[in-house]
Amino acid sequence: MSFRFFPQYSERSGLRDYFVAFISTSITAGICFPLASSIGYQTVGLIFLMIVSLLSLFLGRSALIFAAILNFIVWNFFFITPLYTFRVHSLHDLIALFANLIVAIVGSTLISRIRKSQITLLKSQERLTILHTFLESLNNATSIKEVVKRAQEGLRKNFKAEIIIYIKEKTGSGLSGKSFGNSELHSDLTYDVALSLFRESYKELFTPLIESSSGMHFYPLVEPRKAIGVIGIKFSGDNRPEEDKLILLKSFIAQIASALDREISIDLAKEKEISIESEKLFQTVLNSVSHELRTPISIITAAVSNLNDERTSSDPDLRRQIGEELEFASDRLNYLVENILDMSRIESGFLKLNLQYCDISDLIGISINELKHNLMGRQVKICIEEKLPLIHADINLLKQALINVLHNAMVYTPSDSPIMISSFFSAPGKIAIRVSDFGTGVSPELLNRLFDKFYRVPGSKSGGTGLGLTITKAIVEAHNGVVLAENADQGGLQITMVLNMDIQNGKSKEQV
Amino acid sequence: MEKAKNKFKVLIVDDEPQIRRLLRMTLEMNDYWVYEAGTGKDGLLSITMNHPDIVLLDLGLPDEDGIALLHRLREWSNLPVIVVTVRDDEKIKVNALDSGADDYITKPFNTGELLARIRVAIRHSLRLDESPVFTSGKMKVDMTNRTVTINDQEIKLTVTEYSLLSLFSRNAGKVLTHSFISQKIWSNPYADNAQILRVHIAQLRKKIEKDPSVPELLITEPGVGYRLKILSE
Repeated sequence: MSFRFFPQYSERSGLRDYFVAFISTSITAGICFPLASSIGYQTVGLIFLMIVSLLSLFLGRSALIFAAILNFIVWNFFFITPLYTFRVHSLHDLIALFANLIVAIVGSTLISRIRKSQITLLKSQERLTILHTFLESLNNATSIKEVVKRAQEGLRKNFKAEIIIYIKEKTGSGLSGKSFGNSELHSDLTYDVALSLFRESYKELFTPLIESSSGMHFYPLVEPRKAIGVIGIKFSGDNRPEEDKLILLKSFIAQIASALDREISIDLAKEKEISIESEKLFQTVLNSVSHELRTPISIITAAVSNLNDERTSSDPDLRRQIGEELEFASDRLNYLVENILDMSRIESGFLKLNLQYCDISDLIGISINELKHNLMGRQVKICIEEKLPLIHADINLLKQALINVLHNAMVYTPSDSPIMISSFFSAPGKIAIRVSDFGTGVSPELLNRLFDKFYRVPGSKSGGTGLGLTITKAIVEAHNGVVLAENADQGGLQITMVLNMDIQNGKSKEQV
Repeated sequence: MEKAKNKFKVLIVDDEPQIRRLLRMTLEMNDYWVYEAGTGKDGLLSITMNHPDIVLLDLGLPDEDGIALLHRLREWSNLPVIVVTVRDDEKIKVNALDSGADDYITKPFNTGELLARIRVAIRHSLRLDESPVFTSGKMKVDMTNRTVTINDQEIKLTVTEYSLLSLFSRNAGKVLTHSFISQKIWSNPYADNAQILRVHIAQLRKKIEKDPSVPELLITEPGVGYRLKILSE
């Protein structure tokens, strides 16, 4: 804050400066006048000289010269004999006058030099502080979006400017059509201007391309190794930065470029990491899925070659059996393919719900109907609470979710053990659909892992991809519901899907 | 079939030669005369040249959107069309039905199912089964006397339930979309009826199905509508 000692320095003197010069001269004269006879007029002259040199600390140059001349006049008029005249007799006094003037001029020049350099220092200090704050804020950003947000804040605060940033495409040599920053500034025109600048960005770094209709300034964002993008800046009103602020602006732009470069590299690294991860996963999947795919295919191939055998074609009983195997194998293949397709649909994020009002008992009915083949006369108990309302859901997806749970129950329990499906209010506004089996259950610490992708309980019999329950979970969660796995009291596993019911729905059903 | 020695003609429009071969085999085994087309354009051409009795139209054609083709066909013909789709596109199915398809079948299908659909569509288009009494399994709907019996026991239905059941009986074996049913019963195809419809269907099932939780007569086509199955005695 010491730099603030000269708060409003300017080379020019204000009215105030002249006033200060006048007052200080008058006061000095008033004090010295009664003392003049005792201390002598030369001493008074020295005092006036002191005052001028003191004043040089505060006043602008012309006010100081004014003070020097005024001092000399007052001294001459009131203190030098003959008193009350402006006549100067001795060489002494002439020299004193020049001394006064020289002190004033030299002092003010020196001081103003010091001041100037101090002010330059102050300004560069201020710039450094601003830049430092800006840099710190950019460094703390952890994504491209955040970098842009902070850059926008910085430019708004220091330049009253709005910005828009275009970043280069990940692949290819152009700019990505996606803009960051103030989207109001984006138009096809600004994009085109940015793109043309980007293509030439190696040529001139700091001459802005000014687009006339919007008045925006475009600068390339360049890192030593490459161009990263283009920033468009819109200064509010006519607030273009002055020459000295331009340096700051350029530093800002350089910092933004390097922060963006950093985030882009991090993104790339992350992507690489993810692709390595997914490659590993892909290997695992390939192993389990290829086994699952090959089994029904080999059954089909074998069955078909059996059919081609003359001995089989003459035996209707054998033919019927082979037909059944074929049907079973193709069902299995179809179920697998559907699951893989579902999974990829879920992962791609394109899972769209086709919401309709549907009846839970209807849902259970069609699911069982679809599994008729696999159930093969197994006992399925259905227990649905009276007066369950319709639920607002995608019935086809829920059907798939329920089928996967039922399928699991069928595959992992003995073929003569029953399966129970129940549906009830589990809490106000929540409807549960539960599938319980009477198998051996799953050890408690593994329950949570059942929904993990490709997870299969160790030691469980072959077959299955570990996708079924993962899909169920994704579908139920897409409906804002939850799935729970627990070991039931009777010993088997029970899987409960809890769905939200729209209360209004229930009411409108009552009205019917 | 009944049409004195003249076989019914089926046009298969599908771009997969293997599917066409298999369908031809199945259909010829069941006494149909088969034409094939690999593109929508050839399909339309074949319709005008060969006058088939029914078209099996795969919606995933290489040259043309199946729905668009259906629209063009419906401008001048009531020829029954069964569209062949894959799973997961209920909206496309509904769209196809609303655009004038008579029914749909989802790949992969078993041929028994397909033959049943073809039979229903042809009979319906030729009005071969406009009998006042409809029978499916143990259920008998007598549309002259407005009575419904299960195992020869008369059952009581509300007016709406009866209208629904007779609508289904007149379109037995065919899928009826939610909006079609709403239109016919309440002359209003809007969605708010869909909820009411589901309630009536549930009530109706309680009266006509052996086990209403696993219906055998009145089947739900999830996301599309309902179908009254024709069961043999």
